[in-house]
Amino acid sequence: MTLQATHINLTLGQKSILRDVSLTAQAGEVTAIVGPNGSGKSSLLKVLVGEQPASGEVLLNGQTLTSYRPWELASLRGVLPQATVLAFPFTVLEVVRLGLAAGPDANHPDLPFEALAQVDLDGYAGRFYQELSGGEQQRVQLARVLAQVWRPLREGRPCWLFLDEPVSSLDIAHQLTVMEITRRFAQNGGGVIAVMHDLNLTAMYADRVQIMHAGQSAGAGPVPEILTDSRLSQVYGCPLRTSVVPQNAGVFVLPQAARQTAPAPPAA
Amino acid sequence: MVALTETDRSMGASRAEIPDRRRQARKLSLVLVCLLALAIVINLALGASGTSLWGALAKLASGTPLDMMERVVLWDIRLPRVVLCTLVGAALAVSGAVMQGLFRNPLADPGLVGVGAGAGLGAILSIVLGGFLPVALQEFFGAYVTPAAAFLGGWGSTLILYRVSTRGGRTSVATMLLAGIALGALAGAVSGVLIYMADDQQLRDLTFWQMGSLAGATWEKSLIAGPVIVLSIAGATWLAHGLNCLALGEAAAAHMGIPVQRMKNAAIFSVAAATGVAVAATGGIGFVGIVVPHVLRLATGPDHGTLLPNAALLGATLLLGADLISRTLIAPAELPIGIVTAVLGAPVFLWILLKRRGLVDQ
Repeated sequence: MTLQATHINLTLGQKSILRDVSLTAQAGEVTAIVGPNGSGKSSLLKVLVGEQPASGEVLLNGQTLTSYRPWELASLRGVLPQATVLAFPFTVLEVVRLGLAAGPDANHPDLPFEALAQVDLDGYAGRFYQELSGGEQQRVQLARVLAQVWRPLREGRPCWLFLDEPVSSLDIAHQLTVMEITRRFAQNGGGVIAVMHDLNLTAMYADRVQIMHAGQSAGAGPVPEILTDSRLSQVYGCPLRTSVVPQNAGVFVLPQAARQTAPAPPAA
Repeated sequence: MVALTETDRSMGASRAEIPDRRRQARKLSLVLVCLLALAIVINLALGASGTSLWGALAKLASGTPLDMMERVVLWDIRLPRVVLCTLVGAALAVSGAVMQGLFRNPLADPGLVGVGAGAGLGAILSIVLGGFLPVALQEFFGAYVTPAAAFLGGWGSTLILYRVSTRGGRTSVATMLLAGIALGALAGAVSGVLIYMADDQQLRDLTFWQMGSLAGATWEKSLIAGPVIVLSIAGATWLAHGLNCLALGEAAAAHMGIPVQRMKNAAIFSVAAATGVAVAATGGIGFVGIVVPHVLRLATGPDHGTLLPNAALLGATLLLGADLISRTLIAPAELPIGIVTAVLGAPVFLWILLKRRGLVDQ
């Protein structure tokens, strides 16, 4: 089972946003979309979830998006936006319950608490969403999405998570917590597609990478094939080298090192 | 992934401490039902004529026929007025709450952003130009002409307002309020031209109607407004989950399985229908739609599943209270009810602005 997008073209006004982009993501894998600012990552994700109409075809588990009814799609995949501003003073629990009600597990009242525990927000259920920090709000939204699509597999068919920069406003410990959640979801048979800025976390957790450059795909495949010195230097317009320990660089902190010393995610 | 059956027992204590606002809201509903019943009885019992509700009830119980005065005052004057007041109060409060959910902003209110003015324009059009309709049409629509015209006016202005102030799924509050001012001014100008054209009898009708008064309440008006208001409130509560999801944004609501466009159309239709018949029946009564949902959100949270029914109850109770003041403060004369709700509501609105300035400066 796959998510398959072929020949996506998107033009807004005079500006060409995406040009002939194709992407394939397998269930059971974490697929990362990377690229510099303005390269079309988020636009591509919006097309993949059907939020932005574009020419080309998007197939989810073999069916076009439009062939699903809204509630079918909601029970099949959850979408995490970059940031969510709430119009009214909902509590954290009420926000996560909205996700629960949208998914197929609506009759499990304990599930929102488990989702909150997963994103390390135990004890936050009664707090007001609007009073939380940006990173905490982002994790509440992830818990909402998880409550909606809790099981990676449903009746033998994979479910999907679409995450737009899920770790961008998080501290390093919670970045690892969230990436571990995506990995577990994929290991249990679900599919994860994440727009990522952090190349180290991408290298650690992604099975496949699609790299975007000026609205076009600049390559797709396993991490070692895509995150190469020459490709990254060209796409990001900056001389980059992978897996090189810099000389006399002073202190540096890599998420990879955290993983080696503490195999369990810090917050679990 | 944690299995569905597995629950963490250590979290039990912290869960119990979380106040369940849904349960509080349901308790509040019971209180509001009692308050509404009380308000209905008080409004039936008090009035300029001094006719006693209890005396009449005692007569009914003992089988003695009511005298003419009692029949007219209670059955033809007070009861239709109480029924219409209850319906309109509920309609105004629920329309406000739905509109606020739709525009994702607690300041959106049909009366403030031009929907009431649009409905008013429709009503004035029908009063002044209704005579030009073919006689057959006039006879067919009868007393429904003004409510239907008010509905169309309210619907049109809501559609324009939404179109102007919402781009890419986000509503700009500043644009919404400014567009509301423009729509209100335009409706006011056209209404002015129509009033200029009106003859003496129409002017009397218009003036009476524009004051925003329940004094003209009749059984006929209640019977026209009743089904429309009841249906649109029922329809609105059916939209509750969609409105909750919409608080996260249009895209998020769509990803949560809400057919967003259809839901928005239904919400706009329900707001326009309820506002339209309310305005046609009683003229412009302001601030109920903004004060009632705001107070309820403070008390039991923004969940539309409980907010909308409670808004109907509190809106009806509040308007019955305002009507009581308007009937008794300077009795036997009457204060227009629109003045009473404005005096009570405008300070609350200013207070909301003062407390939560961030709502406007985004």
